[in-house]
Amino acid sequence: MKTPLSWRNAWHNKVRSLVALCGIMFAILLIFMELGFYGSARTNAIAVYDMLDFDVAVVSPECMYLGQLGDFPRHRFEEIRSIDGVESLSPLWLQVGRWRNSDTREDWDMLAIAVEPSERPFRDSALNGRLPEVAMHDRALSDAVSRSEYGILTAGVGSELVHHRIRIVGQFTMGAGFVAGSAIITSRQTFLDVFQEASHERPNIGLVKIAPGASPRKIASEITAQMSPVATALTRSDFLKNEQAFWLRVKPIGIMFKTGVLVAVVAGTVVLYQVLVAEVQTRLREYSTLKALGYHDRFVYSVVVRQGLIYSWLAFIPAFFLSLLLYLLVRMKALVPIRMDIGRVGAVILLTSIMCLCATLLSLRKLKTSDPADLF
Amino acid sequence: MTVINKIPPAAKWLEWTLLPWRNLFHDKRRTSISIAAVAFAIAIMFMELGFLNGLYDSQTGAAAFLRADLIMVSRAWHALTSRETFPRSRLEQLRGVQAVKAVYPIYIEDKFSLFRNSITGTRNNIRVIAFAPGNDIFQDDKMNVLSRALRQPLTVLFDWRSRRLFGPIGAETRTELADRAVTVVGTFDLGADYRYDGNVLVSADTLFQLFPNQNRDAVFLGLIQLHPGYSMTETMHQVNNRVGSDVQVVTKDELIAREKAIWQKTTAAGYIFEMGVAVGFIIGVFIIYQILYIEISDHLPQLATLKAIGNGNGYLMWLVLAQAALLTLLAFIPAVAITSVLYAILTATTGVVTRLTVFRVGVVLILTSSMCIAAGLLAVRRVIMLDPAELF
Amino acid sequence: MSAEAATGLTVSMKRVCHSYGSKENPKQVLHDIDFDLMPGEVAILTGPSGSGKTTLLTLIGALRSVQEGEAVVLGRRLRELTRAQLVRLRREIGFIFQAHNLFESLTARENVNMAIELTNCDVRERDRRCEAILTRLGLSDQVEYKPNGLSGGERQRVAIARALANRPKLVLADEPTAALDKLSGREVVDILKTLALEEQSSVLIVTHDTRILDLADRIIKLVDGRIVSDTSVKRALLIATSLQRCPIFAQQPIAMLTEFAAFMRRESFDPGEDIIREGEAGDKFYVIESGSVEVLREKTSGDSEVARTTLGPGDFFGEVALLTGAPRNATVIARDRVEAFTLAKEHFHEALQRSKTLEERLRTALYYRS
Repeated sequence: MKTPLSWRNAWHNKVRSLVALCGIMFAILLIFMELGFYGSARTNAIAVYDMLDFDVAVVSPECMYLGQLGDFPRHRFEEIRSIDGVESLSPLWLQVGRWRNSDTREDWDMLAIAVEPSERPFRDSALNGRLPEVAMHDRALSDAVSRSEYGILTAGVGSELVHHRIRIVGQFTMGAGFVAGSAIITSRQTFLDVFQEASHERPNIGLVKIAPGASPRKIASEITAQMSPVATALTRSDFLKNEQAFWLRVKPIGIMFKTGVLVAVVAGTVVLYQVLVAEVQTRLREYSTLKALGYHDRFVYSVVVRQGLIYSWLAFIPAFFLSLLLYLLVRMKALVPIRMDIGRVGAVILLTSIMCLCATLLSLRKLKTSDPADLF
Repeated sequence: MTVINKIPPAAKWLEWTLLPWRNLFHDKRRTSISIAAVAFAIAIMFMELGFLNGLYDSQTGAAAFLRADLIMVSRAWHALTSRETFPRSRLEQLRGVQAVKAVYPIYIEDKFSLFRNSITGTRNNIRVIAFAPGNDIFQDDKMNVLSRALRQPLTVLFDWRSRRLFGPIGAETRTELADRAVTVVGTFDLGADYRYDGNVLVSADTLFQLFPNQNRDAVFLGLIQLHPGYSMTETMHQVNNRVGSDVQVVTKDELIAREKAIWQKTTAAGYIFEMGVAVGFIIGVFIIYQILYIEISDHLPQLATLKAIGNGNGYLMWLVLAQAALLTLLAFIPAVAITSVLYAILTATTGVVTRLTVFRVGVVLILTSSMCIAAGLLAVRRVIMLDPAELF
Repeated sequence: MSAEAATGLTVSMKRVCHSYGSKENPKQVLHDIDFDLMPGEVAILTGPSGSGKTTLLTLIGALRSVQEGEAVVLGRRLRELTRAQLVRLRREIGFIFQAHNLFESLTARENVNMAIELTNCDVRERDRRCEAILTRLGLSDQVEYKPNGLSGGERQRVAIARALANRPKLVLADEPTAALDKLSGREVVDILKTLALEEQSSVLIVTHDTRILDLADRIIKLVDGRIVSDTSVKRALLIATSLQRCPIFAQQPIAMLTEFAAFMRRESFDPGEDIIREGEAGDKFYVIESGSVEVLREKTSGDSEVARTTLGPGDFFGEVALLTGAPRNATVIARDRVEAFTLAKEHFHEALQRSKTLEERLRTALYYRS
């Protein structure tokens, strides 16, 4: 086994190395956090849609995002049953209204989802099975994942939605995403009682399920063709992507987080660069000696490169575990659905490698000038 | 004793001030790299602060740009994004109070307020702020003058910092708000935030014309301006005792503080950005510490020589700390320059106004300086423990 | 390969010049260096500081590019080598620096290993070699220490171990014994000698350490970038010893004698060859290294007898004509193959001028000689 010069050099000055490692670790941690929030924003954006069971969604052409859906004529929606491949239709009403926290008497935005209790619009069949519970007037299921500001929302609690009394009969799990801190599911009738501007004839979203084997894209375009100009249809993936795109591109969230990631990468690169440059500077004579002994230039470069990699990876591991811990804390305290996934780990590994590469390449410039003859 | 003591006082002073400069400027290239790195570190901190402050500034912007000493809101009110209104009579009640100079009701519509993009035709929700034109309800007097133009029915003033989805807006642009034709008669400067993509100002009359769901009696914010010389807090307490239990009166600053707190505690964004600031500062400390450590390491032979000649530890410490402080100051200026540019880019691309105020610059300066000095002190230990014999 | 490679010279430099500085302002440090080094030869390079010794060393060691002239090291023409070939050449040269230039983060053992690993031997062999050389240098107790845990002398010895671990065919050393005490210095000297003997390695040492002079076979003096003397020690010794026997030179200090020795050239004569003919103009002074000669002189008394004397190694002749300016007064014929050192007339006279007493004694001796 060859002498591990890079490893020894990395640890020669223990205090310096630890300080450097901490700096890089924090930078990687920041990247994990920013990317985590970015990812959670993507998840959060489609939290509601993710619960719903559909292959194609029909919406008004004016639909911008969940908070601004627009509506379309119901009878036109019903007509698309005739299209080949359409298996079932389910119109949905969604609206944000003021929910009063009965204890604090403060009002907060609540997302109300109206369903026909006989239908099965959710992917969770258990939830579908509970829908008859809200068939009775002024009953609702509440979201267990709700901010504390909404007060206690367990079964039996009653409060007001837009000044209309509602009683909670049970809970489901969702996390209402960006538009509101909580959500309830009620029957269509209750919904229309609460939101007087809404109309039975004008749903907000039309859920379409298609026959197995049928092409969602094809059916979506057929529906669009048929329902234009009062409505348009999108495949599930397009619909979800649009929603994410809205939140991440239109709202500042996306840019802020991306900039945050950039800042973190730059910070990490600067820290690592500093460390490597200091190392190179200190060991310039040693590198020249290596060349004098008969090592190729590329070997000398590789010593520095390996040192950079050592620092990067040794910083990555604690950063990773710390991030897991922080994710847990944020999930518990802020109810933000921030989770680690393989894709993110891969992305951070990539960014760490870029940081490492840039820092190393820059620091090698100093090394070029080392000439064995300078040893004298 | 030390050689220094034998030097006449004037020269001694020179030694104490000039040597740090000469040390730093001896190797110009190296010093510029150090300065660049420290400037980077400072800019990183500023960026994270920018995200955080951008959030708070933008969310509280609508309140900040209004002129008021006290503000009345519904008791159920908790944020500028909430929809709680209170009866107008409560506000009118206050006209009789001696300290009160004027009261102005402010109405807000954000649900049915679809603004049409004149180019693409798409409609998007915009925040509509309505008031009685001709009154001095804005901090900026120019706006007060401009707002008089809103006396014309169906006219709006458009916030030019709104997000681009509303299309290009100039004076005389005609478009639709809530499906009714309106004319833009001017622009103002407020800024989008994390909830609203844009703002328009209209007269109260126009508001009621456009939005039948609104009515004169459902006031969102009651601006209360006091006569000069009256204490805000005293008047506030006085007034709160008189008004009904369905409203509350707070100072404008407190309203803004509460708004900030809501965003800080109840949203992910607040959390995230605060974390970013914390980590940004930690990284900044590391970078600065590293630079100083390297600088000192390189100057160690020099310092050792000085020690060998007979200078005391005090002088050496001064040299190190002075150099640290100098480095910080020199790095600060380019850092502020870079930050201003970055803030401008951020503001332009997101519509969220990110501001570099003197106060914030001062805060970062103090923090960075203390960091530098702290780092310097840590590094100085090496100098104190230095044994001149090590040179040989 | 080149002719030089065939002759087996470790180093062969011809008309090598070297300058520093910019194109507008060059400072020439080496002028027309002609220098050869043979396998098994140990040479010392000396001279005042700034004379270019280190530059020459770095040129030979392929650490600096040759600007002008021809340089052949271990059979390769330096100016024709690619970068990669230069790097490989360096592995065959053991360079001992004045500053130890050890790797601070590695132990003594690992420092030496860095050199051995260039040879691609297996781990066991590497460890064996490493152990061997470090023990040889008296460092067996210090193998696990890093440089900052070693004394100055120990560090230097580790550096020497590193340079010699691969038993290189060419060793270049820059003040290798500077930091060492007498005992360690001798140790180093012995190792270098052994290496030269066993491996037929060439060793070139730049030094001012007079304690190790006996190590060298050859002493080269560099002044202002020129080789002013390049003397084989054996030869100088022989000449000095011979000269001492000559009353003319007997009282001279060694330094003077070596100066003469430096100017002397070697010449060979076949058996029966006339070295000097009587009546010729005198131009050289001769000291016999090997072989014997016969001196024939006509007796002045008119006798047709020829006076014959035989001279052997260590003897000298030919000084009279140089001193008096008269033609040769005898004939000298080589009896067998003769190797002699010759001193040209101008150097002889130069040598004479250095000392008045010498001249006086010379005249006195002459007076008694005839």
